[in-house]
Amino acid sequence: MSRICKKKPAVCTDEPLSNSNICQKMALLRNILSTAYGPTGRLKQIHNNVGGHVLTTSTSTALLKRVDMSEPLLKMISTAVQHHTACYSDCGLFMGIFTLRLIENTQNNGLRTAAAAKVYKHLVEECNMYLKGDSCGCKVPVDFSNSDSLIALARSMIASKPACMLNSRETKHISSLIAQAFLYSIHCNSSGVSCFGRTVTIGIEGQSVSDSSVFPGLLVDVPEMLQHADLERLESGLFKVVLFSVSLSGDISEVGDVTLEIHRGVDPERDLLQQLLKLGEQVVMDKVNLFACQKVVHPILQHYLRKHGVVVIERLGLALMEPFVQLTVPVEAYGMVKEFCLQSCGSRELLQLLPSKDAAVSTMVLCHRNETMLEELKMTCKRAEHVLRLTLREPYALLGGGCTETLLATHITHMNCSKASTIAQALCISHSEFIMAVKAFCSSLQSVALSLEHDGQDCLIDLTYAHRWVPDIYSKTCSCGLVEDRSNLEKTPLKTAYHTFSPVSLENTDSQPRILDSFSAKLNALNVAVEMANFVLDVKYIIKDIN
Amino acid sequence: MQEECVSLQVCVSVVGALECVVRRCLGPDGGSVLFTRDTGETLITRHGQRVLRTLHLQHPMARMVLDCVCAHAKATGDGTKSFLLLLAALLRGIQDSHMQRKGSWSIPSLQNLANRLLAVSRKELEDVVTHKITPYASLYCSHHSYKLEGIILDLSISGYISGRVGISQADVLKRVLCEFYHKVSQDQNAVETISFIHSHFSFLHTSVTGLPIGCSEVIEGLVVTCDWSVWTEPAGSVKALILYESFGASFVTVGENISVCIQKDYLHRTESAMKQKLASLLDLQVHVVLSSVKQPESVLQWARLNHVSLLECVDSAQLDFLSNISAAETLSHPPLQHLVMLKYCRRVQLSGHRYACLGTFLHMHTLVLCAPAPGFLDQIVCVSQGVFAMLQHLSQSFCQTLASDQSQSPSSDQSQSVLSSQDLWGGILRAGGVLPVGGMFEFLLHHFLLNERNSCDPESCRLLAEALLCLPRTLYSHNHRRFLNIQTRFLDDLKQWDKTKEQRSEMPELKFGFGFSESSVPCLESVSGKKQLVVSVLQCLHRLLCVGAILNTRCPLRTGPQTHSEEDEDEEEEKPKHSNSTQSTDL
Repeated sequence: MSRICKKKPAVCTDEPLSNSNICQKMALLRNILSTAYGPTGRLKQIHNNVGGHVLTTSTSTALLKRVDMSEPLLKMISTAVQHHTACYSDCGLFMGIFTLRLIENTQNNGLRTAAAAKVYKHLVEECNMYLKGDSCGCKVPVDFSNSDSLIALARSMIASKPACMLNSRETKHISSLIAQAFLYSIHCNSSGVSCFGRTVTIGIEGQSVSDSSVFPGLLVDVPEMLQHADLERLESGLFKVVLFSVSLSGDISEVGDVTLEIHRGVDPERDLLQQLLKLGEQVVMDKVNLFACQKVVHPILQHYLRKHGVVVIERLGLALMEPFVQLTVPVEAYGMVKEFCLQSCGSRELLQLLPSKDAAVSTMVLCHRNETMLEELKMTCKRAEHVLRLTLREPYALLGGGCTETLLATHITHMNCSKASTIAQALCISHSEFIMAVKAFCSSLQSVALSLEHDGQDCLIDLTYAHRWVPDIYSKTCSCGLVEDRSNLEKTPLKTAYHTFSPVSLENTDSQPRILDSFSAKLNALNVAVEMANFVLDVKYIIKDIN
Repeated sequence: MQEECVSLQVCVSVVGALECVVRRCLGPDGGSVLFTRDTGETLITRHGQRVLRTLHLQHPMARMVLDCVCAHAKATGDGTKSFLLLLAALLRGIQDSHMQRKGSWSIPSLQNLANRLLAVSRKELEDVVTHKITPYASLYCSHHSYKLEGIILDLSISGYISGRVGISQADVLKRVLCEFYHKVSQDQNAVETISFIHSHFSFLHTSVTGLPIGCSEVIEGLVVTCDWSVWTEPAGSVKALILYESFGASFVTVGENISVCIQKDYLHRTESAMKQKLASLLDLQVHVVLSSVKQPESVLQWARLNHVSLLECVDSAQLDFLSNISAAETLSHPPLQHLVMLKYCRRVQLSGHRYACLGTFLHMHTLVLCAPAPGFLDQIVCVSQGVFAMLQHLSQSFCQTLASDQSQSPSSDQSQSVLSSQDLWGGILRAGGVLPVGGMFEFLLHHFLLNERNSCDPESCRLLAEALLCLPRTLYSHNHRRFLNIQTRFLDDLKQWDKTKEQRSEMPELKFGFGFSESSVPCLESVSGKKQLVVSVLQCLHRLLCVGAILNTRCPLRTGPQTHSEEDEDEEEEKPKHSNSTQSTDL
């Protein structure tokens, strides 16, 4: 008989944000995130005491997925960051740091949460308006007529992932590959609603990064029994392709786990094989050149097909099915491929299939020295390509290197200080509450810009354009590379007191920003971060069920 | 004697403990409660009932209170937090008056008081609400009708949600919910629309994580949270087949001991059976197949070749809903198949996921709710659902009064079934069904109860009136001066109103609600819901006060949800129970 366990009463925490234990944990998470931020961010190694895999990373996705939070509030923030990166692939760390800073600053200033929430909401709407507006100084249009801005966008993204362990030459190489793959994935004759093509990524371990490259079409493992002679025998021209997603192994698999009762004189396996061979005959009769299957093909069928000069590719795997269909563009039953050839990528030999029509399928072969770095590189490239795709929806990029944050903070401070009393009245809060909340918001933005620096150097802001600067004798430009230094440009350390001013937007300049951030990703991160901070600040009571 | 005192004290402390949890969530300035389980589930809510349910209440009194709260919430969909606050305030009021009288409350006198309070709820409360508050509300609304006309729905919704989500989310949510209501209703019968949305809400919304709430929207058609397995863009309206079983299933799994007998030419037989089935589909000119289960690969291929769109693994309840609303034609031969006409089929992309969207001939719309993380999404969904529960209560109570009016005056033949959206909301406005939020109802009731001249029980009225003020007081707990300001201003208004009523002169500007929220238009709440709240609280109080002792038994009680048995518990603030004095005085 089962015993009825008495339920324990739930553990309640009143005013969780004034609990020092929770605040400490929050500060720890903020510290982990902000030390990993940016190109010089410190790597984090995650391992389990019991043993097993050790992961080295600095990306928010990898980090937060594996770090288990005990505190429900932190868990919420972590989930929100992961959901953001799942949609936008970038700016996860930005969002995490900004959320936590905003919560911290609100607490430190002793702001009433309902008042703070109203002001933050107002400010983030103002940010949205500014960033989406035409007069925005921290946004540059993405120019699709040349690849510079696309490459710059990809490069900034890769450069901010130090765990990829790339030097500057390799970074350049990979970012141009990403831009290339992105361009391959867009259909040339985009008429009406078109969807993106596919980029398949193959990783090769133990090879130098410079061996990485992008190929049009699809690269698959060379079938074991394929000889060069077989390929040479094929004449050039279009090749007929047939693709199966069902297993052709001849097993009676659909029935499942049941007892089979078979009549005398009936051999189901033989029946099935005969059926398969009938299929083979049909294929040969229809002059098919390439026979591909997602799963296993019966060896006798394979042998039969090869005897008739048909190239057989089996065990393609589910991941390659959709790109394969896109590549061959099947009409009725058969698809077409323009060319087969063997490509050697580093140590591996692969069979390249080139599309007959304009199909936007390409394969990116990434090489790296070891598995961990390769994993990080593959992940980063995938995300970078996604970020490039986002530019098609909103063809803008934001200035990177912390300049957007400083500029935005300056703009917001300037806009709101002059009209403080009217806005405060409209929001039904006191004037001082409003001023304090604006300050908390802007200083949180600046903190994100400060988090880019890990070597103890000062971060400066100029008092004309409000860009971020690092004192460096070699560099003549601001962090993003848009503003050039001159002797009369007044600068002051970030987060010190300076008068409010409206940032001057740069006009008629030839210089191009070197570092760009994704516009869509950062905009969403900013919005979600403020919403999260509001949510967390709103929590007045925690009930923990410990049954 | 001592036992009875303990009983009142126990009530005060138990209800006080509950009040303590929910009072932080009251009103727009309140906060929310985060609830977690060891399983990793998290829930963020301001919803009084949900908070209470998650507490695992042990004290029998507390659970009795919870039962009352739930019963009330079920009826009105609103007011659980106010319920507890008011109950606690009433109990404290009784205790205080007891202190002043130096212990003259005996069990019979407490019971007597409870009965008298209940009587107040039946007579005086009813009187005040019908003859004083409703006319006031009606006058108030007509006075401001130029501001309120047309947006009364918006205002009621924002009155409801402002206490349930954070300030920053309330605006966005209100906008999208109003849009949803208007798009679904399309000037049809308003009452029916509301109850339709209320009862089918789970099919009419889709939730998306990773986006800010501001991205929430209303999409035309019915969104199904899975993508088309086979997709061909159909032109215009199409015939769709609804399936609940696999096409390829040649036998149904009955149990574990199944044996399959393979005979000669079985391959041909199964193949031809499937061919026959598929051919019959083409005869029906079906272009879309909606299936609640996964279909075999051969069916998918068939669909591709014949330009049929195929959607698999749809929730079968959703399919039922679809076939219900679009008058499906049930096929006679294979059971469980329905034919429906769809206006169009689309693919929609929501935060990186592709979903199917089905257009029905009835103007169906789907509410897409976004939130950064699942815990919040839950809150948003719950609030949105609650909005329609509240609206349903509001509209139905209006219809009831309308029906009773009609029965009194048979000359008007306005039937309830032709109530359009405008009629309904305008009617509610004119009938004084709503009042501005923020304590107006409590102030009014307080005022009228105290000044009720022909009351037969002034003491109970005074008790209730004093307790009512605790609600606005908590609402403005962060700014006590504001509370006093508002109260004074309100009393001034009321005096002026009385004066003009006597002189029958021009109405003065009733500034109350307007200066009050300091934005141009105040949010609204339902008067009948508020009245129900007071009645429910008094009923609950009656039940509480009539309990003389609690008996702890060790055998399970099976009589019903109202009886409570509890083994000895170790709650912090509770006094130990008396175990043998049987004095159950519940009459």
